[in-house]
Amino acid sequence: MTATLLPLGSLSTVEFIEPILGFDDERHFQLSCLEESGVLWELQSTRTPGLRFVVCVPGPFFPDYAPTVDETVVAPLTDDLAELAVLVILTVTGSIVTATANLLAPLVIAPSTGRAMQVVLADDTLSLHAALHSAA
Amino acid sequence: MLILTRRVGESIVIGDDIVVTVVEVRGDSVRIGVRAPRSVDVHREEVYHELRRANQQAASPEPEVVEALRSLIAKPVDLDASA
Repeated sequence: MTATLLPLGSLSTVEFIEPILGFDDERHFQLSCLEESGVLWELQSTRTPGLRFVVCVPGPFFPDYAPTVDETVVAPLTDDLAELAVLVILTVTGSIVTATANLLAPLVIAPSTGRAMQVVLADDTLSLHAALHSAA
Repeated sequence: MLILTRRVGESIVIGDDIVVTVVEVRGDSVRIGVRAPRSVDVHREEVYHELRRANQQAASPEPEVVEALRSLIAKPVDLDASA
């Protein structure tokens, strides 16, 4: 599938310089877009065929979501902090109605370098399991 | 567990390069500053455990779930406007 959302669309492989917590050995993921609007993406481990995460651009579901991250935390990703893109991990344990997004610990990705990390935000009001359905 | 008494502004040193400082004490909450190398992850304990669990839950959703997410997100497309 052709990725249409720039600048993420130019990326193929993402390197997590800080691992997704709980997946310390999984550093490299293939990033691919799952549908034409460029909102829904998949991160497929290059090391473990069965391991993938479904992630999305938060804006369409959470228009007020504006994560702020300490610059020193994300500085290793890129020299140009303005390019950083944010994706949130989606969780669906049962019905699609119960799908949630992890707003507290988004993935921050630098398109120019392909480097990424999961960042835990300092905002206590954000949830690890924010309902996607009520947000849509 | 080692227990130390510290005043506001005082610190403890862990190993060679981790410094934990008591920044402020107000009622039953304490603000703590941590200076550590970038290679050392620092998390609130409960967030650390919850985030691990959340990531595990999110890993490798079933294909039909992914398909449902796609249809949730994809804009409806008029495939046959002439019909």
